[in-house]
Amino acid sequence: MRSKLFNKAGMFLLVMSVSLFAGVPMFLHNSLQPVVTGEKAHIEFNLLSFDQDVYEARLFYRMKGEMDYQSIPMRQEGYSLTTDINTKRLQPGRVEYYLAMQSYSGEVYFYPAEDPQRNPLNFEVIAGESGAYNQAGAEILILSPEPADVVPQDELLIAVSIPDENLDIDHSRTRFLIDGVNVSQLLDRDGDLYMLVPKRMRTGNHNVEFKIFDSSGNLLGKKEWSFRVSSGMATEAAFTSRTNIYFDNRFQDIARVQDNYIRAGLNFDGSYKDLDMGLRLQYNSTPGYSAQNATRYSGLLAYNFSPRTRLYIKGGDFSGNYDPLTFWNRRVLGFSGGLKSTWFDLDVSLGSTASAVEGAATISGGDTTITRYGTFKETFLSVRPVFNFGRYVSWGLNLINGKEDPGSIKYGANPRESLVMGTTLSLNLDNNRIRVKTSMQASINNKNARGKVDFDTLAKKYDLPSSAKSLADLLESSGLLTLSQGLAPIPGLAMQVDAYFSYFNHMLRVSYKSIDADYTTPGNPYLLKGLRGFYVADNIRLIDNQVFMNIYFNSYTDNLSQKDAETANQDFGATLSYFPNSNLPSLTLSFGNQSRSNNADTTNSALYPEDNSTQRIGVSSSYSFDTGALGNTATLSFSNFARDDKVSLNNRSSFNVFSFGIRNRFPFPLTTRLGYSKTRSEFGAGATATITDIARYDGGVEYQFKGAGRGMEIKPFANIIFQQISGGAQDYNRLNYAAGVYMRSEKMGALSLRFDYIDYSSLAGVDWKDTIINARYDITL
Amino acid sequence: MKKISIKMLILISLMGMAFALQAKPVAIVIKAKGEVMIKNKTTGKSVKARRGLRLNDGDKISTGKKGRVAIKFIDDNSLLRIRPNSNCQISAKKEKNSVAKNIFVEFGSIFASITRQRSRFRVTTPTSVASVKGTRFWTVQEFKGKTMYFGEEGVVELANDSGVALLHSGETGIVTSKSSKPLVRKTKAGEKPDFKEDGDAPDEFEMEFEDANGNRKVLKFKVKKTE
Repeated sequence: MRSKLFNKAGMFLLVMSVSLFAGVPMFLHNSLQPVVTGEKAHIEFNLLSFDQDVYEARLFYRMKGEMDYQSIPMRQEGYSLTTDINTKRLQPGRVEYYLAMQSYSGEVYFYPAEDPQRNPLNFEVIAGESGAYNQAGAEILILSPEPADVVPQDELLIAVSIPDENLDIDHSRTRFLIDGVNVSQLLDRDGDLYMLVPKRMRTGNHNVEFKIFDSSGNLLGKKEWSFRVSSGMATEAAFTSRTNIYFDNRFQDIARVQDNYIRAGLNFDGSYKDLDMGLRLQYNSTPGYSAQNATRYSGLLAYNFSPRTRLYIKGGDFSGNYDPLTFWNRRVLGFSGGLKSTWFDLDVSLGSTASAVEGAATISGGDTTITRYGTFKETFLSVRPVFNFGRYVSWGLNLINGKEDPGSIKYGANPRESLVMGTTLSLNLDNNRIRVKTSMQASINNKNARGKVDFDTLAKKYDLPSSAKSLADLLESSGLLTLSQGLAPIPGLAMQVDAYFSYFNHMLRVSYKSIDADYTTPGNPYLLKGLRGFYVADNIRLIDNQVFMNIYFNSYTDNLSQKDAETANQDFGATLSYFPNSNLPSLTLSFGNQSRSNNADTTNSALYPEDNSTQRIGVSSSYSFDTGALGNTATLSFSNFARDDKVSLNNRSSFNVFSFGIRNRFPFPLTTRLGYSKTRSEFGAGATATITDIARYDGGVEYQFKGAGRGMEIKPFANIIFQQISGGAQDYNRLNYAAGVYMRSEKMGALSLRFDYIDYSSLAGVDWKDTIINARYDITL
Repeated sequence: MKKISIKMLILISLMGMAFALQAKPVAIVIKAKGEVMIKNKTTGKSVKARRGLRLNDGDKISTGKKGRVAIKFIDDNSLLRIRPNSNCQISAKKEKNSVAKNIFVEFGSIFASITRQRSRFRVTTPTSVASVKGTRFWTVQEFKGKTMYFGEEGVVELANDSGVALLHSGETGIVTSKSSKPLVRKTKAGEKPDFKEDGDAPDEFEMEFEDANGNRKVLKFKVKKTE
């Protein structure tokens, strides 16, 4: 029902994705205005139409010219998926991003839906003031004890502070380790101050490590120091714990369809002597169309033999983090156990990645017609031993196995199996100035694990030598793969080598990546396959870190799955940024050229012939200045994209984007923001060209009371975005109000309220007044 | 119209909730001995100082006959040691990129160690003002009497309505009253306060030994401190 109503939304070309099919998500996403380096880029997708529950959503992003996308998890608040990119760690230029979302049934969805890696969304990062570009990390002050200090037992206080109020610190990620043992749950925070008054510590030397992270999981700062406790008794470790409880409610009225969504959860972390324990519970009010279990739970037990030796077992929902070619961001419901030590690490994970959900069929005259395919239960196994040779070399092996159970449902497609085996090697030389990471993997897939065939049949089909029989027998007897008609014994290969060299103000990265189209790992649902090529990028610092230059050259072939349409890519470009030390405007100039071509037969409708090149130029600037007690930052940006296509005139396009913004910081903690942008896009050429203009006006206000009350923090905000879209299928306006408040108290927890109101006007046949109300309460005990 | 009014009401309510403000901690007690009381400016309540206690703008600190306290400022790690029989008030106001600090010493002795140049730091007494940027010095204020400053490191500017003087390491500044010009001379032996009386605990630590039969013995070390 909801999907049908939203079919009309298809005309909102730039703000919504469109779906005519049930089960495919539809998103609302406002494009990002340019962001000054050091500010956070807030990215939000609103899920308007989706029949399933989201297991996980991640934002993939990279600087233009980089080979790999980085990914960060997105927060799920009702139907909102949000995250912040910390631009302090990015260079000025264009940031490309897309959304990837996994449902509980294991299906992966993207936004943009079509080929998002090659056609990502993007936004501009503009150079700011010199100090804003900071790779070194945030400042952390050690208040007590001083490094190398000797402290009597009864005077022990461990305290640090973070003077920079503008940091986007995710306090839930803050790590505080004493002698390698994580005691973060004991840390008491009050504004910028973090402290701990230990009841007792053994006499002797102690090491403290304090780390802060931003909401995207990036390390903002780290401090490590030692001190000595004198005149005391041995530590009598007591039971310590931290419990976090949250409740999340979202009501939405979109296109006259109302939904109410509730989520609640509990996170518990505790320790007793050297034993750590953890528990995660999450409840979702909507079990979902797929009937996959939407309620998450997990538990952890870990024993620390020493600061560097840890034995652990976890059960319930977890995801792996081996490397992108093997086990990466894949949800597993089961058990994982392992050991981490100076010389040897081991991880074994076992469970299932999808539960069985029966399909549907009609039976007529003895013929069965499947009307909806079900989901097979998929079992998962991963094993990874790693041998560490000091801190310079790590060598690992891995085995990843996924098997869909044909007997788990009656009405399904072909059950699949896959097995990945490979090795990884990491080198770390010359004090991290040279780093090399290598992963080489091979996968064997079975695209239909029903029934069984003998080896001779397979050998004849694939021209296998008789010596392969022993290997086939081994794989089958181990239960990792089934010898059936769908087994493809010729392995698909994947390899990635990344080398980093950090010398003479250069940060050079040289990478080679080759992933066969038929390479399949059950451990990474987001892996981009069917490509092979080199990637080179260099970041150069010049003139006392006032000028930064990024140059890149990528040459690769993708679309390897179609031999007649393998597409060659040449992608090169540069960004030059000037961060003035004095009070002058910053400046960023960027240029890029990307060409794609193949020899696909234009008469073959199964192939997609390409011969195109896209040129991009951009210029942007920011300037901070004071008018009396008022602090202002103005930004100006212009960019042009022009795509020339030799195959079809209709595929030619050009974009011109101009934007201007100003942010004011008042002497009291009020920040206001105003912005304007004009986008002109032209698709096609000649008489068939269509031109669309979008004018966007936005404004925002945020009052930030840090330290309101003892440990109280209050942040009310209000934003407005008005867009005029003209020249497309139909002219229309869109007005989006958003207001809310975030309140946090040490004792009473955190409450956030947000109200969104979206009004579409001048749109024939549609009178939409959408409302979204979101409330979240969170307390840590 | 009604809808818009409700939305405006929600917005105004949200904004209004933000005005329930209180102060944010500016410093922390890292060590306290003897009778040390902290009086909160807002609530007027006094509490006994203990390590880890957070101090807010305007808090008053008073030490008894044997009371001593050391505090550190959160924004820049500046240290303040307050000795027995002292009474002072800390003020910390947020400026553009720093926190301007003022310690008003009504009477008593304080030692200030300002390690960073970022913020403005002043010690104010009934007779004068000492402006500091990156230095270590003592302030001794007699009850309704003169003020003495002792420089240990860096430069301190002493000022009042009658004049200005610069205090260097090894010098003593004397301001007898609000209407008398600050005078600076070389510090005489024995007139400068020190930390010897602060009574820090001796540095002791233990090592445990175990033989093959599981017998354990503990060896205690005492480390003699030297200045």
